[in-house]
Amino acid sequence: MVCETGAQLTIVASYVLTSFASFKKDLTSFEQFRNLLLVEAGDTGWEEKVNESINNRQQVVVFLSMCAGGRRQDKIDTLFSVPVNKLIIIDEADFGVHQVKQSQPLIEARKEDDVVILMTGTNGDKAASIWPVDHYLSVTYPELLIEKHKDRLES
Amino acid sequence: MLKNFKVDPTRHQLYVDVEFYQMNLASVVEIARISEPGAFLQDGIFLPSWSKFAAQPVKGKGFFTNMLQAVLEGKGGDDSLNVDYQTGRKSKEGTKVAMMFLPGSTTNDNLLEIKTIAEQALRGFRIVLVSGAESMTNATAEQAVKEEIEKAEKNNQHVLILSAGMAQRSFSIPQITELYLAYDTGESGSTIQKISRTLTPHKVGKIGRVISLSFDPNRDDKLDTMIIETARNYKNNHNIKDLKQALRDVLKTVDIFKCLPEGSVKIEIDEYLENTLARNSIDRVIGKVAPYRELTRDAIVALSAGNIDVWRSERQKAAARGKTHINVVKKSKGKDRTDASDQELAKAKEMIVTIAQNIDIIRFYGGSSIEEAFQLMDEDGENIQTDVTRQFGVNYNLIKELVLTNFINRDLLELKFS
Repeated sequence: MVCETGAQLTIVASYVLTSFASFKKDLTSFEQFRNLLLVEAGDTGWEEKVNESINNRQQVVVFLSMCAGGRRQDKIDTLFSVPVNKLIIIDEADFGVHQVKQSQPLIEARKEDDVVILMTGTNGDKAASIWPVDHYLSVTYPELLIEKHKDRLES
Repeated sequence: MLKNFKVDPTRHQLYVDVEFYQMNLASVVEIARISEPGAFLQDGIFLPSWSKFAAQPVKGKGFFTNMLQAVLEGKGGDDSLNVDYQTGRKSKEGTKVAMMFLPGSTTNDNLLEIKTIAEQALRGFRIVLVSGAESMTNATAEQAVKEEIEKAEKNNQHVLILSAGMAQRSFSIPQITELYLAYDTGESGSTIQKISRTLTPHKVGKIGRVISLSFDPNRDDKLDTMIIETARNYKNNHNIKDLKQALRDVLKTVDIFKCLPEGSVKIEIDEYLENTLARNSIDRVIGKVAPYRELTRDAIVALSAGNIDVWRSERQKAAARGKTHINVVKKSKGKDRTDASDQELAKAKEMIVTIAQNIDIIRFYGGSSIEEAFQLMDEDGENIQTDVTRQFGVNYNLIKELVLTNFINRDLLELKFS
């Protein structure tokens, strides 16, 4: 989605911080993502890195913890004041961040042209309960296996 | 549609195959009943459950020891519990990494007890407890377990990872090939997360084996929601005529086995349907998928209380807006969420499940479909309608609305009569 939409600023937000490791692994494993700059919100100098990247028209992906505290609101304010359209990916969206207290800051900060993607492996209805959802896509793991074993369906 | 990428269907082969096994613990329970009659006693009745074991693991030590040794070491003479025999695993496959989820209610102290029991029972295994009791967090668990697996491999040990809930998300250990569900029941999403711990890709041809350790397999519904929801998705996405056919296709690619002394036997569609009906799983899925969140709080309260008047008023408002179906009380953009409390939503869900469970009262009234049955009841007048209201504890007209407008999912309802 980052490459397809060409979003200059992508925010990956989650209450489950271990999910960031999976994103980082995939984004650093494939050539297609070589030009993306990965930044952890809160690391030393992260704001400068984001601004510099935006100024250089380089795509940047920022990982944002949705756990309360840790100057979360300051980070949200900083990120959403960047004057570009944003892609916001909320991972494990049925856990923690489905609560009003965790989601509301993002809902309020989001501009009309920003695109939000809620991702979860379970309880999609719960994840989507707070956000206005335009499109809902559900694929269960066994459906992937059906794709893998289409030949078995003919028997 | 994609500008920069193409779908590579060969990557489908990387999906880890999964096999589900329903394992009946009756034989080790019987030993416990004779040798440790107090282990699972409740109000004078012997009623085994994982939650009782988790609450008093020392009391159930004999049971747990026998169970682990029977399943993981093939001891005790019950081949239906010998997991390697049931799954066809060979010793040449090397180090086994298994993970077992215990009841979420298990305290840290009891987890430490359970770890000790497991260490004493399984001499060839390295037991790794993933828990705050071992000063682990979700953030550190993955690395800690990787290090333990490395140590086990050096010592030619197998690995059994124990958890009561930690590491059920974003915990990727490719070597996990066996996943044990050692709890009685649970929220379906949580079970799917746990199952997924064995689905991280590893070597080509990896099969993730999920073993439900059950005290009563006939009532074990841990997998049902996932399977039925998959069939629903598959039907909708592939224009398949009826849900039963979709379910048949799902069960062709996802194998569910029952474990018998003579080896595992695949459960076929008719048996699976019969089992899911017997344990009311379809009704629970109906309760789960109804679009409650699109209703206002008043409508939810009316639903949970069976108060048709409030319900009708919402419908009238909807009709005034030119809408034709029942769930049109969705709020404006940015607020499409009912204000009902979780408790009210839970009650509403209970009511939907109850209606689904008892729908045969209406369906078998007459006619060849549920529409015809309602039509006959409409024609027969107030007596039968009052009777239905009394039997369900919910107004007849409300039930009719819920069914005919597909708020109660018709595909799933039809599956009950297929």
